[in-house]
Amino acid sequence: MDPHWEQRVLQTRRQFFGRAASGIGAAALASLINPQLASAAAGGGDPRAQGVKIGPHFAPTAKRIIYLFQSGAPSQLDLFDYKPKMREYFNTELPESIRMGQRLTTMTSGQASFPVAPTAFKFAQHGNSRAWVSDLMPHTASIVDDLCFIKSVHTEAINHDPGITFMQTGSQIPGRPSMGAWLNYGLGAENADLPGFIVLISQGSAQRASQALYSRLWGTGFLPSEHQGVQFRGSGDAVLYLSNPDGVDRQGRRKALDAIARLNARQFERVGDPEINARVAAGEMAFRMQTSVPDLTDLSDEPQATFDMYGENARKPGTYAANCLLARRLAERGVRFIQLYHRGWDQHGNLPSDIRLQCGDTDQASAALVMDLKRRGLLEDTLVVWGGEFGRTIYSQGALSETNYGRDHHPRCFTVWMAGGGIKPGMTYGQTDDFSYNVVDKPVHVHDLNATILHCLGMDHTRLTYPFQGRDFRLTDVHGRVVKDILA
Amino acid sequence: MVTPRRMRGRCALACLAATASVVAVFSGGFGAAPPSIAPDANAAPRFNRDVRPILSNHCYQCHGPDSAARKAGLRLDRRDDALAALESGVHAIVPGDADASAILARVTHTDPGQVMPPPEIGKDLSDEQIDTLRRWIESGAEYEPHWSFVPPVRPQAPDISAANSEWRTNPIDRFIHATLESEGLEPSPRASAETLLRRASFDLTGLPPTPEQLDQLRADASPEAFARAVDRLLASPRYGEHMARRWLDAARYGDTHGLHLDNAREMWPWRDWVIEAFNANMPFDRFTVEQLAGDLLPEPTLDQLVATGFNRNHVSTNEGGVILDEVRMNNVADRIATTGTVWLGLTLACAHCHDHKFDPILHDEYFELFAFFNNTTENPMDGNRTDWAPFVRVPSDEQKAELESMDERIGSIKSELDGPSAEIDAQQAAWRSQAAAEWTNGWQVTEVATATASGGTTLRTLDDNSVLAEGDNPDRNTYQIITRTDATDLSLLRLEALTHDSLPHKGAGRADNSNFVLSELELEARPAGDDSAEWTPIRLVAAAADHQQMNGPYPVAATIDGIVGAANGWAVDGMTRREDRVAVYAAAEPFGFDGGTELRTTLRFETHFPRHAIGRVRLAVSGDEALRESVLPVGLGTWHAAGPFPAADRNAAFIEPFGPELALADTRAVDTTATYADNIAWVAHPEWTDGAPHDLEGGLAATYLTRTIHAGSARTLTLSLGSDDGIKVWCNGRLVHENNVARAVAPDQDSITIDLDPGENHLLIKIANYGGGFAFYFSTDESAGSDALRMLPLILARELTEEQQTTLRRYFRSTRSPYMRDLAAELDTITAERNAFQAMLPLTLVMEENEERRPTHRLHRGDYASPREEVSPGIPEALPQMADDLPRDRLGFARWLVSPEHPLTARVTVNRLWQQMFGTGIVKTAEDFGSQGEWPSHPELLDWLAVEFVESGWDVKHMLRLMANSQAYQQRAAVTPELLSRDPANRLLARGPRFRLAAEEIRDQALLASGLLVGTIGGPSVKPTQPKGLWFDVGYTDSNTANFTPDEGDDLYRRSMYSYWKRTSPPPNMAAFDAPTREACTVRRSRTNTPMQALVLLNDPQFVEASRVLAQRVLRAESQTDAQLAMAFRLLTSRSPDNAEIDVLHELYEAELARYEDNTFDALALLAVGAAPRDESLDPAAHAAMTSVANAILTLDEAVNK
Repeated sequence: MDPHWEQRVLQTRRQFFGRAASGIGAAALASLINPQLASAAAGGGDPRAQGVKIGPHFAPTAKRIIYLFQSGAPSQLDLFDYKPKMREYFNTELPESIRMGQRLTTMTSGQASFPVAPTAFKFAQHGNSRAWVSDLMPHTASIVDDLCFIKSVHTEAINHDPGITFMQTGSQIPGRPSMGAWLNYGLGAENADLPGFIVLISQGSAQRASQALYSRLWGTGFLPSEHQGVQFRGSGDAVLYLSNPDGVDRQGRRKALDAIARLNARQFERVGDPEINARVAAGEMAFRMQTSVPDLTDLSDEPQATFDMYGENARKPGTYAANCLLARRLAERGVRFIQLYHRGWDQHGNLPSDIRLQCGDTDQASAALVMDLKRRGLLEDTLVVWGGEFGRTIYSQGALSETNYGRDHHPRCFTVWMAGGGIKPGMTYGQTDDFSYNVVDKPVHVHDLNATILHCLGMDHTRLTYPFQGRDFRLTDVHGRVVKDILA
Repeated sequence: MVTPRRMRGRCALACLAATASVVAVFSGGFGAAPPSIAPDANAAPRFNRDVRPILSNHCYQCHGPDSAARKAGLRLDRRDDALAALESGVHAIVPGDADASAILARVTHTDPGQVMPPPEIGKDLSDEQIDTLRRWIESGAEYEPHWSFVPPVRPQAPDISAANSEWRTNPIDRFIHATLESEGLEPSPRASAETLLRRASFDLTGLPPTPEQLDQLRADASPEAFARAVDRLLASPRYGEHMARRWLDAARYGDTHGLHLDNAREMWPWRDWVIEAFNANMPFDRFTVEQLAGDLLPEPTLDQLVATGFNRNHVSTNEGGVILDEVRMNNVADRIATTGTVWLGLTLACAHCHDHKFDPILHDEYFELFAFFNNTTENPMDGNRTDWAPFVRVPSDEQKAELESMDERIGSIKSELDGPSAEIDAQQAAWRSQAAAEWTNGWQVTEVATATASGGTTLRTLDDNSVLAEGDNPDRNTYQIITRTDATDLSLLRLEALTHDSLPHKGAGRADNSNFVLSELELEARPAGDDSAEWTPIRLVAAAADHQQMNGPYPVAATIDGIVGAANGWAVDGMTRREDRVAVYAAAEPFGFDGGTELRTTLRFETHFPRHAIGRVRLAVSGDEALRESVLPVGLGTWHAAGPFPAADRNAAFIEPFGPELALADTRAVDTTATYADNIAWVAHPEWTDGAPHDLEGGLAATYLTRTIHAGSARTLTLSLGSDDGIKVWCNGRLVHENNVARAVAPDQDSITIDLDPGENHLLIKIANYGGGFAFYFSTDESAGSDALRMLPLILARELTEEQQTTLRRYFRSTRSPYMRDLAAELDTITAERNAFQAMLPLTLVMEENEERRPTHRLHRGDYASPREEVSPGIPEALPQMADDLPRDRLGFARWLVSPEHPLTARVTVNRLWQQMFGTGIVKTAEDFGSQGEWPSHPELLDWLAVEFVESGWDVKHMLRLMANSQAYQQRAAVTPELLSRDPANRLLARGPRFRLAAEEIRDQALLASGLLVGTIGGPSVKPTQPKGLWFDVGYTDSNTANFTPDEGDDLYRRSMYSYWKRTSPPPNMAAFDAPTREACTVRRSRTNTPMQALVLLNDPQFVEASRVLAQRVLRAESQTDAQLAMAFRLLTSRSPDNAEIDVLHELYEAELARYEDNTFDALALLAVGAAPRDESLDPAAHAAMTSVANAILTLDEAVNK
């Protein structure tokens, strides 16, 4: 070893460390919140990285989003998109003028006939906005004046895996960052004690096998992996590995972290790599999460009124109702992107009985969440989105009777509702034909929907980009337009 | 009406293949030169380094190779076009005259409507970039071909002025040092031996050095000591595993399909091939050819076929409803994207929908590449199967030997059973003609008097006294046939259903599919010649047939059961067997009148199968007693059951003998009065009917069933069995069947034939339950009659196929000789065993070429549904072309990739090796060497390495050795703040590489340090513990990977590269440290630093267990606390702690010790984490305290860095 060299390194290091220790700590912490800041603070990275426009591009109308994803694709025909004329068409062939030879899934493309299956459920108009809702969703019906129904959403995918991947990442093929990862990358987290992107999953009550979810739906694709969603779980640790091992208490952990910090500080003196300090900060945040997360999931401070509103199921961890309540608590704590998935909506057969079960799982809690946010003044800056990956066909898959039918996948139109966060309340946007088969007015493509969501969060979807493989990627690829008409 | 556009804009699908993934953190950049290597502000800019990045990133999108997107006719990527006069008459670029160049006027324009690039695309040029363009135009606006498309030429290693002569020997160092000199920087001193060994051990084997290896290196003062250590590491089998682990990312290897159901897939033999290839240092050109086209090599070996699994690793789907053409396109596109990234460093996927925006890859050229990979035989949908064909079975050497020995035995039995033997064959011929005579001569065909049918059918009598149905064929029908005979003392009626050319498919039935179903047969007799005599019903008590349909209630016995039900009748598989059929009926009493008898036979066709009548019928009678005996049914006794006998586990339930099975050794009979352990006794079940499943009681257990079977003569009986779960069957004390299987009960899951002795026979069945349902199913074909009757079609037929001859020969030989009979039984057993054995052999998916090339079309805008002109396999024009003698298939393509003059393959590959050793590639964008890729930090060095690689014979170990032995690699990693700000990413290498370990390395280190690591190489992937419910949360309910069950024992402690990779839910502790999902090709992982990582290291039971076992190790090895602490520290950081560090550790230890001494309960709780046994001789408090300290050390930055 060259002693002169070593001395030089140590000297400058001590000056640097002594002078800037607190600064580096802050930078390291900032890196957890916004890696681009850390990049700048560390004086490193690619110059272009600092040129990426990060942070809100303009004043946001929503600070956070709660996405109530109904996985498996709920039937728009039986919930919101009322088509009274279809009664006359019961069991008649879907007219070719409507189908227009458009592609079908290979599950029904071989069917000899495509008999029209009108909904078995009653619809009524509700609220001042006179929105149509079927009697499957009485609670949702009671809040229609806070909702904006988009009946003309359409997608490109015709099957679940590509469909849900498209909704959540803007591409049918795995490999792209999820919407939550994009927003976390673009805006960072607000809360230093919780991740900025949290995922909650519940299982549906319907009889059919549930469609799969995929960790890519909250993954980061080519974005740095710290932007990925953190799954909160209904059983075991709410966050993986959150609990200390058996026999280890918080004080012991504190002592260990202190020892680790001291040893890491020595290592920093020796090596000078700022990543070391970032690691200390990460350990500290982990320590804080060990209390912030249990506080969050401990519902003992919720009054009975909460459970009256969300339903008693909200006491059962892992249910949709419990996840909705958790979503409100996360919103209160400033978590940026709260992604719920409720599984079990894939009703190819026995739709009437299964959809009733699914609505029983979700209707009350979804409505409660919106009301609760509103009551607490959170709805105005929280965007709530409800929807699945595509719609379902007017024609019956399999046998049709007055009371029983199934519906196949239908990408050409489906209904999504949004609420709060800068969205016009009490309106319906877009229109489908009498068969709820094609959009006849104001189509909203998935890219348009995603562009609009980003817009509410203050992000220009054309400027939220990340360079990879030689081009600037975005959530909306090279498409998308903000649906201005639904903005408040 | 507005119809939503299915395809949106130009890039509907594409840009889809965001495949090769992942960028180092905080990076994001491309296109610009690496920091700190800024061009000299006064020198003329160089096109490739300085100008192309600006034009490419800011201008090519509208003025580049993509003709469809080109604006104003301006093309800037080719000099001739850029200098030409534009439509407007101006010149974009006038060499030497910046002011006359329109491009400069536009980029400096102040009007937002005029300035270029248009502000809305967000690609504004900086002043510095504009200045670069100006100076470049002033200097003559020279273009250079894109550097990576020009074949590398070995440059002279520069002379350097290094004071330290060590930097002069390795050419790598001369290139690095020369750059440092020009930057005014000095290299760092050499790192300590310990640091170097840790660095090289992780970089070459993925594991830390052991204390012994550290001591050895420290003790060796010779200058070659480190080089020898490098050689040792390169020779270690751990090297191959480590290299393979990186290759698995690139090859997107996973243990599941990745899409929709995400079911299990078996590919690990391919993974093991990769390990072996790296360990054997297979030259990279061969490594390439075998993986891309091993199947097309002349007479490929099994290994070469296995290698082709590379391009079967992509994600796949079997989602109901998907469209085949779309899935096939996606699969091939993935192969193109992956191959492009891994070998060419090109983003080929960009050209899927349109001409590449930045690189000279045209849309139609993309599909010429596509055509190479679009000619394989696999179904685009994976069938949700493990064995998605084509695949090969890959037996181990032992398994191969086992298979061969079984084949040998099968061969020798077959030659005995089937081989020619003049004597036996003559006997067989004699027997056959005798048997035929019995069925012809022993019978008297009755003469038809009248034959009538209902519903417009007429029955015409033919010369052979058969009647043929003609005319209408009503849904239901009844034939009444009156015949005459002179014979008396009759006991048997024979019904023949004969084929006829006039019948459907020339079969015997009248149904469209040529089947028939006879519901009921009634026989009456009266004396001949007296039309007024009463008809006397003849009671028929048994029926047998040469064949009856087994897939439902279709036994011939159903025709005399008095029931005419919807599906109750005799059916004969007429849709597949267009043969004559025979049924024989036995009467209760002899019948027939002296002086002649008239018989009235009524055939009813009244099941719910419409028009299923017999087409041609002939009747005969006989009084042969021996025949009658063979027709009479066996007598089935009442079922008795004993159980459940509880079992420890699934295997025990099946394998372990309980009460009745133990007693079998002594007797062929089953004693139903016996009582077994725990007072289990036989219980009679008269309520159990055959042909329906019956539930049993009990959990993980075995239950036995028995019944007697009475046979009038020696005969066989075929049983249809079902079970939930495993089943074993004994007949007369001899094991005749076993099937260790987990399943729900159903009819006919196992079909076996047993031999019955005359008189009483004993059947014993064991049902083993593995949890859940517990049930069995039993039925027989007992009414089908004897073997001889079943052989009748073969006995009577004039010409037999080879297969039929074998059947008949085996039947004859086994009925004539007990030896042959045993042999035939052994053949059945061993064949079944062999098939079962074969089916469980490891398999791996492979590539297979269609014999006739599948046409490839250019897909307009990349849409699978818009095929345009057909294209042939070919290479983009911008790249060197294939030699004429190369075949235009995958093999030719692979050979082209590794042709020595190829500009990309060697560069891209050595760059990844450099990235492995130095943390960042010479080209940082390891996946993109195109014009948007980053300019190399050391272009000449990259070329030198590429040429060296090719000329060394594509020797991977040689290249890694060169890098490890460089001074550049061996520098200290410590950095001054000045250098940090000057070169934060260490691209200039004025210091040694230091970066966080990969996910697998972190876990493997913990396992090795604790002594838990199990070093077995290869084999099926393993499932170490993970938090409960992760798979279930996301999995499709019916997926066979919806539930995670951890493995046990050694499989918990294998190297992490063997962990089971479910792509929709990869191991969470790996994902936390940036392991990719393996859904797409990844050649660069990110290296993040997150709270989740801290939680994993501190709380994941895997790491806590490793800490506990590590604590145990040091407590046993050393007696002094400080020595124990030092050892733990050294095991995880490869260095001994100094006193200050010991003090910190000691303080923590003492505090923890005090706490655990006060609280043994907590100590024991901590020590119970994980499955590894605890040394109970150690003081729990000390062990727990040391566990805490070990866990803290494991979490140190130094422990997770190399």
